[in-house]
Amino acid sequence: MRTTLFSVLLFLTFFLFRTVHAQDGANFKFGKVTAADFTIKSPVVDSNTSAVVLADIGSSRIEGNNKGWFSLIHKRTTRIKILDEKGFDAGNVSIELYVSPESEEKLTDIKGITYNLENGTVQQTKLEAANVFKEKLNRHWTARKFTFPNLKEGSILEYTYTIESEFLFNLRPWEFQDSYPRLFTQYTVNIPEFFQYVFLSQGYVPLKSTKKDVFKNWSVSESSGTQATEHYSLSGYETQTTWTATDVPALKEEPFTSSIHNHNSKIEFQLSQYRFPNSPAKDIMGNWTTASEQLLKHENFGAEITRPNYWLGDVVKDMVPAGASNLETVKAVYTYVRDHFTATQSNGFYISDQTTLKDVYRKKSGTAAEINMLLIAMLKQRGITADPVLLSTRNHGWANPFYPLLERYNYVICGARVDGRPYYLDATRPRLGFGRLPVECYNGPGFVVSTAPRNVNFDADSLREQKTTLLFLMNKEDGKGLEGSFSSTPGYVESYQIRDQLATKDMEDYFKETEKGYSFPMKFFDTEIDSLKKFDFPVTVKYKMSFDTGGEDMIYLNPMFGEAIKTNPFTSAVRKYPVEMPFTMYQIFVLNMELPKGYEVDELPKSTRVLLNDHEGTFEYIISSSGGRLMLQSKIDIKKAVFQAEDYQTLRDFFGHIAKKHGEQVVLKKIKQ
Amino acid sequence: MKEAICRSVFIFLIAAVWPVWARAAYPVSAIPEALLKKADLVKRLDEMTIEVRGIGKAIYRRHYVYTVLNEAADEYAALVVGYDKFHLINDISGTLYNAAGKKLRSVKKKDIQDGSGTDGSSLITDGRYKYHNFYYKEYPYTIEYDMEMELNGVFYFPEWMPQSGPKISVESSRLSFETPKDYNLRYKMFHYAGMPQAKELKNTKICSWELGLVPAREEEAFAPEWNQLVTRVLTAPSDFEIGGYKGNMDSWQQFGKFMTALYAGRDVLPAGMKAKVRELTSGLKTQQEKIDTLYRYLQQNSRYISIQLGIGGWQPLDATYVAEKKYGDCKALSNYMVALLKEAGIKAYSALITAGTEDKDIVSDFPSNQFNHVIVCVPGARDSTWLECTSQTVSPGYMGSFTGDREALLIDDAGSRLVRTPAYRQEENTQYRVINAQLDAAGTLDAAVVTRCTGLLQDDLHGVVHGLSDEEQQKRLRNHFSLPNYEINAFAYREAGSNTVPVITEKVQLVSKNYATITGKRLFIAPNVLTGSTRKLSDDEQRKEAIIYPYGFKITDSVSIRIPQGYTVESMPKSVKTENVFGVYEIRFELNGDTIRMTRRYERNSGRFPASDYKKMAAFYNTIYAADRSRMVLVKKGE
Repeated sequence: MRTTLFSVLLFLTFFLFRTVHAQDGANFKFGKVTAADFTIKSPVVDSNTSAVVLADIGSSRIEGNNKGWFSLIHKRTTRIKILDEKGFDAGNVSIELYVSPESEEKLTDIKGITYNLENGTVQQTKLEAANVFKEKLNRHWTARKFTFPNLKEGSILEYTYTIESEFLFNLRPWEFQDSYPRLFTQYTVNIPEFFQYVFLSQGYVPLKSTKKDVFKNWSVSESSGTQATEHYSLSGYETQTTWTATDVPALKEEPFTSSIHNHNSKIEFQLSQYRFPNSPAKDIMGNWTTASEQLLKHENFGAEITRPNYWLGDVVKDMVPAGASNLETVKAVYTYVRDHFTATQSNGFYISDQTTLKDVYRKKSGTAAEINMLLIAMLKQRGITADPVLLSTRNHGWANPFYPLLERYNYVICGARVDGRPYYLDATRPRLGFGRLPVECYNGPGFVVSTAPRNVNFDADSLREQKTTLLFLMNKEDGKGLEGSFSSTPGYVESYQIRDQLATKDMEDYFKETEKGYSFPMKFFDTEIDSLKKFDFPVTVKYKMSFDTGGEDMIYLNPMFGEAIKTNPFTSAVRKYPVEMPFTMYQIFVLNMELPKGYEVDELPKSTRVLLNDHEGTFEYIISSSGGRLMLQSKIDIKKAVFQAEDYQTLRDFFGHIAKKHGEQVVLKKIKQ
Repeated sequence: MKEAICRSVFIFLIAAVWPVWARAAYPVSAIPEALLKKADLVKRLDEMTIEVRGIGKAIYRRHYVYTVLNEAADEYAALVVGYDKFHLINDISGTLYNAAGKKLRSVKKKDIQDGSGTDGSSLITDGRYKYHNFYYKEYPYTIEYDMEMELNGVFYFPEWMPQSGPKISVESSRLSFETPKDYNLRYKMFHYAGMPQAKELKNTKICSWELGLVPAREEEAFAPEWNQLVTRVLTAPSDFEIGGYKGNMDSWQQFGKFMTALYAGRDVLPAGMKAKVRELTSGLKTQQEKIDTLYRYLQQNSRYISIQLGIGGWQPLDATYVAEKKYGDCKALSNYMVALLKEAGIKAYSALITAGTEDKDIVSDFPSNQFNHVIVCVPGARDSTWLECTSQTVSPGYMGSFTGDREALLIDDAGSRLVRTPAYRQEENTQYRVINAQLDAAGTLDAAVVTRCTGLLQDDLHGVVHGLSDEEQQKRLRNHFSLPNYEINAFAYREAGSNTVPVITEKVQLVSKNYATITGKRLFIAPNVLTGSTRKLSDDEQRKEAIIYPYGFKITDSVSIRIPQGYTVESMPKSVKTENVFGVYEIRFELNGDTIRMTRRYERNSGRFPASDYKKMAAFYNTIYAADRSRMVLVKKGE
């Protein structure tokens, strides 16, 4: 579950049974579309397909440039057929380019053609350069955007472009799969022996790959001001690798998915080494130790927490009561930072350019990374061991457990160690308790950046959401119905959500909505929420309730009251990749109810116990009546958060059982006098 | 229908100015008690100053001080200023104060972010914005901002509505215009007591409005539009200039004349397209047939792409461009449609309109730029035909809730005028559902559901039919009904009806495994399988505003369920009927042999009802809520 690599192997065997249609990519040429190309036959194109990628062919190679170094040359040609109006979006193209103060990626040779088949002949409409717009996205990225002219249902559209880049780390990845099916997709990468890249692939689509080595020369030139241009020449082997996939089905996001990016088929590249002749190999990516060392020295990361930061001394002193133990100190500093600093955005783990922790302190705001780094610096100031822990949040996909691939991380928290025990802290969320992490942090490996680097796991399986609800009911004094008390202590995640809601909503409105949530007329009184401000603990929602039971001969009531799981969350009939729930769960509901005066039990639901895959989950529903009382206990216990696609049906049935049982009624009848 | 709101109203998200030396601190303790009640935000001071220097030049300043009382008002704490070719930002400054009014920080240039205003619905615009936020979170706190903007071209002025939303109170707000003496500033006031203050200076004159000490108010369900409830002043120029075009907007005719000039010469079709129009229409007899044919042609041969650059925010790309590229935004496609009709000898007009379901009604006696969308109107002998040109699928003539029932400005030079788009009557907005089902002893319901929707009640389904793939349609159906565990075995959609009142019929075959809950010998069912009302209203609320039902509708259900052999009805729900000014509701249950029949009729009237009717409305909804959930109990015979 944790790594895609394993899943790839599993799925490969499954896909071997499929007949692979070998589309002929070699004959593909930009600008050459014939009437026959408009006819498509493929097992992956069906009535749900609104656009299909006929061919998507790309290459990346490394060439010497005239600045004394090398450039990446990336070419891409894509041909798409629009089947119906829902696919028109495929005709809007945005190409993103990286910009730095020194250089920017250059887009050249951009061409686009729309083909329409009219009376058996192919008509072309060309994209005009004036209709390619430039948009600045942010400091590092700009986009070129265009839309295809004369686009209709049935059109084929085609575009090609070249990107020249001096950013060797930005060897463009290739996605073999996305929301439109692909008939032929191929990526060719040529890498000179001087550069080492680690290849990372994921997904469930079988890729055919070929590899060959060719001896080659590269020339590099450099002109510096008034001096004459210098030329260098290098020769060596170049490795060409080609990956091809045909008839790739579309991939769509299902509920209970951490990120679709973990499941689509793609290949990515990570620059790892320079190996020039006659000089020692230079490590770029390195291992966990070198990555840690570099990060700790990095101006926008470790440098800020490894320098003395004397200015923090007095600041921290004011936060911590005199004589506090180490743990009390950590708690006090954490609480102060959490309550006084605001996170402006939470994507990324570097400190912004030209920003120091002092700036963050002065502004009382910063990115999530800046705030947690400030927390680390403050703790270090008090002599407490505190290290940054890099994470990838759920929607960002998994981090790599084998290589220190930094762009796989998008978040940083504080890992403190007190009296030999680790505490993982995130001070960027208002109201988050000490030692708690937001749900989205539970997404696999975290990288502890320190002189003793290591990986720690934050699996969804390790986050347990435990909820206890008690309902006691007895006859009202006037004998016209029941009243009683409700008390529910939800798990920490739900408690956090309730606190979040109540930060912007009146408590009165909150209970009014809960009251309306009952399907029959209900009055609440004595409403309260315990521990609302005690952020380290779950809340307890309490209220007294009162309702009429009416005077009918029969009373039918659902003994789960408002706590039933009414519908199965798994509505899809099939599942193509794992179900990733955010946590494991344990929910218990207990009802202890006096029977309405003058009534007796006519019929009760049956008690039941259901197991999910032997021991992965249990559902119990135990009901009984005696001495004029009705007792029910419903327990749901799910010990795993991630279920493989092949377990989907079992999981779905399990929730089906719960929904069914939770819908059942108790029948009470009037005692005949 | 595509939410194709193009920019004709540039949103002044914020802005203003006040001499720096006049700054006072703003302690929270100085806020009058009455302004704190039910408030999340107190506007301590909010000043808009517009200095008109000529018909196409003005300086717009805004200075405001807001106290954020709690987290719910954080969204108002940020400064967002949009800018483009016609709106240039000169300066932004600001200060943060704590609750005691102590100055904590000021705006630093490098903390102001710059972003692209191009959103997902546009390919490209030249709109951008500046953003600043102190990101403070010790409540309450106070922020103060100053902004100065140069209007390089004047087409409209920002509106003044101090109490801009619920839970906002206003301590002091002011709108002030300084204009040349001969400048005619037009205005329209709502809920404003008295007249604006006028003052003559040496070379200029000042006209200003003030408002103070307005307590916060809350939002109510079915209330009139917010901007009809609070103090608001609209202002507009008489003579104006933008992007090199001059105009006057004293009357809708004048406004229309200006638009006509912007559109002039942009309706030329290439020769090939002219021939195509003749080919398409030559065999057709009536004007209506020609309109329908050309509109369908447009729908099949163009798509909506928004490109808004400079004056292109109001001036369409010309018809030749659209004919060649086969795309355009609302005004470009409308202009092209008008050109196609013209070639067929049919006179049609582009019409400016405010699209969407909120704030749809323009102030019709105040000619000014109040529009955000363009459609086409083809006047007919009896009825006009209205065409939404950004949709590839909607029937010719149908407006729906996006553009129906409101005034639009026909662009027709000196003949420009406001015309109302069609409203849809109660009889035209209907849903008729028939369910034929069978229940077995295991509690499984096997149901054939046929639902026929018309008029406004088919708008959502139109989006489903044309916007979703088969798979997505099925996915929607799987989550659409509030039944536990059900499967969709088959489904289909069919469109029919007249162009002016479209009809969509949905057929669904579904199996709901635990439709009936079973306890021992009994089966519990809710015969109203699919059409339960979900609205419950508190009956103890003090209603302040009138109640508005924007449109009427009729919903009818007819359910037959064959019950399993060997069962009989133990408990039959009561039939319910209630009727009042809001409408009629009736639900009946009966048993015919082994079949349960439920019929349900819910008709809602449109109209405006006094606040004093609120209790009646709450009772009406709560009755429906309970009756819709009526349960029936079946019991095994002879046990």
